[in-house]
Amino acid sequence: MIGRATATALEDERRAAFTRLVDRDLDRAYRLAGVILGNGPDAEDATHDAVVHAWRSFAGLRDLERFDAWFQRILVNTCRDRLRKHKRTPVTELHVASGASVMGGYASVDDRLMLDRAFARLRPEQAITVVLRFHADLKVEDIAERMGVPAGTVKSRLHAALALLEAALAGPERTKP
Amino acid sequence: MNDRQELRLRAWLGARDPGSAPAALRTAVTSIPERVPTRSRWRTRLDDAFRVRSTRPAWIVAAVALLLAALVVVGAGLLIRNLLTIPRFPPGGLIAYASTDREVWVVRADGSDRRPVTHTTLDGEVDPHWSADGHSLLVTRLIGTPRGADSCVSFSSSSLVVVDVAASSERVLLTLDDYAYAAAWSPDGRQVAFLDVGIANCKVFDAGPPPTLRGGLIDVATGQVTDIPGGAGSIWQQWIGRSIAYVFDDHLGFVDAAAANSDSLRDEFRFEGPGWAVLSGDGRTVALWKAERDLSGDFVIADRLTGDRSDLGPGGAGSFSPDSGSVVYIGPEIGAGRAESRALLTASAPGWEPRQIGTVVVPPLQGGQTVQNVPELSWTPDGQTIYWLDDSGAHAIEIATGLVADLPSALSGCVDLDWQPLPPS
Repeated sequence: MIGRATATALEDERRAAFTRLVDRDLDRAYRLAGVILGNGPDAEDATHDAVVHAWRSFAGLRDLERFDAWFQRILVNTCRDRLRKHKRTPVTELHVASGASVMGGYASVDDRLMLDRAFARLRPEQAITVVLRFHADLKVEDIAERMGVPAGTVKSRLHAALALLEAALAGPERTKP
Repeated sequence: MNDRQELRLRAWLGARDPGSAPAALRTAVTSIPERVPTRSRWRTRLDDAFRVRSTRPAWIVAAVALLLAALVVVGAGLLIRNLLTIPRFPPGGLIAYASTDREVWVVRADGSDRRPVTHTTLDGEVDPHWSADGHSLLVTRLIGTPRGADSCVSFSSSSLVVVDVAASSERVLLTLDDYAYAAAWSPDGRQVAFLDVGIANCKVFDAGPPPTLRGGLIDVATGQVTDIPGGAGSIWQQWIGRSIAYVFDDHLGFVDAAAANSDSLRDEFRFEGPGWAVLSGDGRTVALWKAERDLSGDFVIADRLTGDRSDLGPGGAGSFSPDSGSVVYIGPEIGAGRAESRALLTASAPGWEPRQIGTVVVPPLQGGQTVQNVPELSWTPDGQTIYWLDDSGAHAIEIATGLVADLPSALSGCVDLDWQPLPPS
């Protein structure tokens, strides 16, 4: 039987390990959530929720070397749930004045809005697959692991998503101002 | 997607990158469980998460308590619904019935456990009666009335057959060239009494009870048959203890079954005929009614010992409760209901005051019909419920509440049924 003092020590050690790992991966998680969800406040909440879920499941993680992939999977699931929830809420479209500057300054407002609208039409699973492939630069097999689906499903989601984004991406390229 | 489009997509995705995690978020997720200033909703949820071990049992207890409460509510609801809408039938008892397919079946009151207990293809079985121990059925086999035959056809002979329901075995007690009618177990199950009506055509029943040639008594163990010529002319018979009561159209006659012969028949209890009589199980009370085809004659309860009589008004088709203390019969509906509807009335000793508990449907006489198709009333073995058959099926009414229920649809169109006795207490 494990004594109370030993159990407390093990608990402290487990908590310290979790905190250290979260601290290490927090920026990457937050940024990934931000790209998926499209805004900082949602990314903060999703990252926080993912940490909560991760802590509750942390006792089941046997290989700490796998923490980053494991935690990213939890984060992706959390973001997917938030996207699904947001899909069900009515959205008021904002009309941005022509010529206004945007974050990054890479393209015109029209370009950004077209991609914003096209991306918003994707199903949550498709949107996350695009982000993991073209922003996180994960291979198809790694995306499949993060999303808990077969590689073939990832490929089909990518194909469908890019077909939907094609109209926005096929427009005339804008040069930097 | 070409390279240029991919670059544009990557650039657009990169523009959504919010940068490093805010300090507040980092503090919140790396400083738990210490109390730190952060968003209150984060701290609450993270505190909960870090206390998961201590809080889980409480959640489990709460969930189990809620589940149990829900089960109690649902169970109570079902119980109340059951009590309010369904008569309480005796538990577990099988109903034996003669089906229009010319076989005898058993089924429980809830429609379950339905199965045939006879399996003849060239003959038909009718009139099932449970033995007192509830193990065996006495049925009348009409030889030469195959399945699918008209419900009333000529037959060449008949048999009395005892079927062991559990073992699905049968034993023929007797075969007659005539019709073995009104067969009945003795209370101890050792003998079977029957009437030899001497005809082989059930069409005759449309004109009233057939003429009986003789009474008969069978020893179930040995198969020995004793003729009781004194039973000739009777229209019905009934076991009262160790005696057989023969019902004639204006008196009763009794035979001691232990010494059954023509000399032992003793006549008693004359009444104004032509009529019909039924005795209570203890033999003390007789219900009498005129053989009027529309039940317009008076329904009378008479005490065999004292001779006291109670006139309950018009009615007929009486049946005594298992404890002999009450009678149920059909009479005029109180408050003048539909023409084809009659009141289901009950009366109990000692006052025998009629009380209406419901109605039954009595179809009006059709052209050429001479006997009104009045339902035969029967009691469940616990004496709580009355059941009967009509053209729409089998029905039951709980006496105490007046609640009515249809018996299993399998009984629709059946011609006879009998409820399995309660097991000995």
